[in-house]
Amino acid sequence: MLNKIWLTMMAASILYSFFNGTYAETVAAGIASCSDTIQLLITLLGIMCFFNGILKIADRAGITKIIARILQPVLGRLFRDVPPDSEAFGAMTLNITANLLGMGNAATPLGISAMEKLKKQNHNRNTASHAMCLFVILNTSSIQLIPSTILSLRMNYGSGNPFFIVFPMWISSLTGLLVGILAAKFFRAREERILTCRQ
Amino acid sequence: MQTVKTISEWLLPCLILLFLLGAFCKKTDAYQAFLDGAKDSMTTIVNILPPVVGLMIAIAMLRGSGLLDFLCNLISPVTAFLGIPTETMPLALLRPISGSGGIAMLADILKTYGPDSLIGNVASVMAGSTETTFYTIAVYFGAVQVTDTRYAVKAALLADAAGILASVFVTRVFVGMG
Repeated sequence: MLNKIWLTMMAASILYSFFNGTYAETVAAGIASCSDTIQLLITLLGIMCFFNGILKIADRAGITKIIARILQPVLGRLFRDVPPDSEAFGAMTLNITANLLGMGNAATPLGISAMEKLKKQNHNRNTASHAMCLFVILNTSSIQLIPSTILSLRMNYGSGNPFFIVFPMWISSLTGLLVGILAAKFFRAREERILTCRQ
Repeated sequence: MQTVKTISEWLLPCLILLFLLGAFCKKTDAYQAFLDGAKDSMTTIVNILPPVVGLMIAIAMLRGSGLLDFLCNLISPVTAFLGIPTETMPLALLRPISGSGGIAMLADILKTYGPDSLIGNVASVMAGSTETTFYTIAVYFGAVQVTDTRYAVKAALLADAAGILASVFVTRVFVGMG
């Protein structure tokens, strides 16, 4: 999918530049962007070292466990079909905590292990269960306590107030998540209604 | 309302102090933890370098050729109706598909319009309140060989759309207060 998008972006730019008379600038802009990007990534690496280092301290200091304990009742209400003492529930809690702390590298393996356990609870069917759908939606809404990459980018481009966006980001993420959960509930109810009609 | 700005500025130092005190109370090696975390950043940056460079070239060429402005002008009646700054639309479209694309596009927007402009602020919030939806769904369901994902894609995309609209609205409110 990304192949087609990238190819279209590149080819369309060059084609459009012929009509627009910007063919020289277009390729020049592409080449210039490479070293700009490397410089950006080096700055990003520096700021990310800071945030990831701090977050690792939080993890080792047991903050992860505290967040997991706070999350448990909320998740219990959301995932009524998953017993709170099951392995699946534990893996889900850890995955969402890792996401909250912005530890993407740790979150994905935990999330996959949670999906495996949810599949087992669903009698190994090839059809997703409601819990699986909800869990994936939780993962696609990305609520982050400290959005380190975005803060790094803002600092790199000289923002006077890089942290300004943290609160608005929390609110928008939560709004997205809420709509996702409601949509999942709505679609599920609709599927069940169609099923009972057929019977 | 100065309060919002003050709280955001106090947030990070207080959080860091909390983490450090936590490490002190738990008697864990905070310095070693910091080093391990910093080392992880190395791997992350090395992994995202090729895709970010590749997508940056494509975005720079889109902008350099004038095609990006042309496309933004085309959709501007729709975005104006919804109240979304048109310049942030490329980000809204690329973000659900590619994480590196989201980083590249946000960097391009911050560079072009400045991080503290309304466009820069909206783009930052937008990038932070949505995820690489398609990638996440593919990885999670693919890893456990679930082929029928039922309503997961529909609901996740609705969540994204809501997140994008919310980021515009909420940022405008906060900019108005700050």
